[in-house]
Amino acid sequence: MPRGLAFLFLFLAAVSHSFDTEDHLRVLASSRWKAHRAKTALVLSGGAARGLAHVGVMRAWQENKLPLDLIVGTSVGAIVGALYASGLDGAEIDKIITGLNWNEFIEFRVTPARILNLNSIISSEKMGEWMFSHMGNKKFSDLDIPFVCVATDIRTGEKIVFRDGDLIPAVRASSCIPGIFEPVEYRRRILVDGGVVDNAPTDLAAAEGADMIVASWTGGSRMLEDSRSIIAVLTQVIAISGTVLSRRQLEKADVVIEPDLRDVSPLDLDKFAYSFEAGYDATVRKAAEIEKMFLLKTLGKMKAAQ
Amino acid sequence: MRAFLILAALPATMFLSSCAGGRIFRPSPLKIASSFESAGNPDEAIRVLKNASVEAGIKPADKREILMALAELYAGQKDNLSAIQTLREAAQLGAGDPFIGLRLGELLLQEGLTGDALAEFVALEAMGVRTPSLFFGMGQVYHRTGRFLKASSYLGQYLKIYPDDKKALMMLYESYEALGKYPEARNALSGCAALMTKEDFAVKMAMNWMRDGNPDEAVEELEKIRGEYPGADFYLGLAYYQKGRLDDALKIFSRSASSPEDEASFFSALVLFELGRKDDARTIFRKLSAKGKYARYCDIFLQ
Repeated sequence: MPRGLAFLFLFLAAVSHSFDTEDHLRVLASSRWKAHRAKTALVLSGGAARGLAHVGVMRAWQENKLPLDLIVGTSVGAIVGALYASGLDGAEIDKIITGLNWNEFIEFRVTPARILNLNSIISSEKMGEWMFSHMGNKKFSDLDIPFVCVATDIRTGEKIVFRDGDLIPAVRASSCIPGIFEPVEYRRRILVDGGVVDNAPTDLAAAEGADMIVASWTGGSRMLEDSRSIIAVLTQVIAISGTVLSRRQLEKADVVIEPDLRDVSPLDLDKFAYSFEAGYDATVRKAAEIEKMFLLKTLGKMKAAQ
Repeated sequence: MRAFLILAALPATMFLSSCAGGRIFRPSPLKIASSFESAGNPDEAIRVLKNASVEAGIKPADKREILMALAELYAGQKDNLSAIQTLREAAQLGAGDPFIGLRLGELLLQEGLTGDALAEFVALEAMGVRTPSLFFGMGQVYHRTGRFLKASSYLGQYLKIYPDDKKALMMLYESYEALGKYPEARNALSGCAALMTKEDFAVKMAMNWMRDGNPDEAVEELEKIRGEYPGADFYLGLAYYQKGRLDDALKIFSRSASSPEDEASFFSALVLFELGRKDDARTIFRKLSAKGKYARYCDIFLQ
């Protein structure tokens, strides 16, 4: 074969390939550099019904095979995070939430005694039973993926972090919207929703040794349409203060996933399908960025180890 | 006698014909269009069907049939948008025709309108349609939009009926690969090997083995085609790198037919760095850093 032709053949053979550098780096990150893999934390915020978008986030996270070494959750983020960490996959969580009859789950008991004592408006007893039916009597140490969640001591205002012991009381406490659900008594404390003090606990992820922090932010508020409803006002108050509190926390994240939930209020439990899609799409849009960030951090750790 | 009968029949036929709006003994527009199409004149066929579709007094069922044929003519001329519009018009004339919905979904997909295509397919599924075309259409939409779990489920159902469809197998392979279901991906890839060159197949299979954490199998796969396709050398180097045979990897990277993006140079710099030859590595990183694609990664080693 003439030399010119051979060169042309080699050149064409080379250009006919489109190399995927990230794919090649990913192969090495998951095998040869396993010891130097960047520890990746996913922080799931609060947001009541808006937070159900995290289910879509988890599904897309799984389908895109994004790295995950730690889940940190607060409020509804703690529920979704605990379900995922306990071994349920994105599709199973989707099925569970889709099949959930919220009317059965939330038992209204506005009895005179309850109002006079000002304990709560809605009983949350069934929440624990529901969690038990899906997560069993697991402890934090039993989980497939390390998981941490946050609650608030309503008496002292302290931020309480759970990383060991029984899972369900911690998750119940973390997701107990004050004034709406009954506070949870656990470990000699009276606990309510973690979102009261920290609605996007990115600092907790850093404290747990994460090299890379991705926050899924479903907090925020939207224009309050009905100011006569006590529940709507309460959730709006929590949403506004949570947003203000979370701004700095979100700045500490390497990547923020922010589903488009402008038409979903914290009470829109019936908009799960919409929220799911919003969470899924937002995660798919950020997947390449998360992947690149992970590879950069892993290379950085590999370099430091040499 | 025969002449009398013909003479008597003629006015009767004319009378009946006028009562029936002039249809009797007139060939159907579908037949006329078909003959124009067969004669290589689709424009005339389109004109005939378009006129027929707006004829006064046309029955909805006939109009729907004409519009469906017209849509196919548009599609044959690669005018999918007109075909879609025509099918939508046809769909309004009789709800629940799964053929129209399936064809609409197919054309919408061809035009890249995945959201609209999905809406058509989902509506058909809700109506209880369970045909292979629907499974394939759903699989295609979900594959294209990166929803690989759903894609693999629908494509799997389709392939139970048509196990040899190589296009579907290729999409199933890509879906499984994206989901990290590597053994399943290998099976699907083997089924559609005929769609690709020997080199492409070997590289895809080797990358699958590497992603699955088995560089030995990758090396075996690539060694088979090594002499024939020097372009695959880069992947052999990558497999050796994954195995931890750094010197072999370096040797292969340095002689591999380097891509225009300098992929082999970048990975040889990584190997050099791991071998402790940091200055040599930095020289390469510095050169590559000037090129956009690698800059972020190279800069880590230059800091």
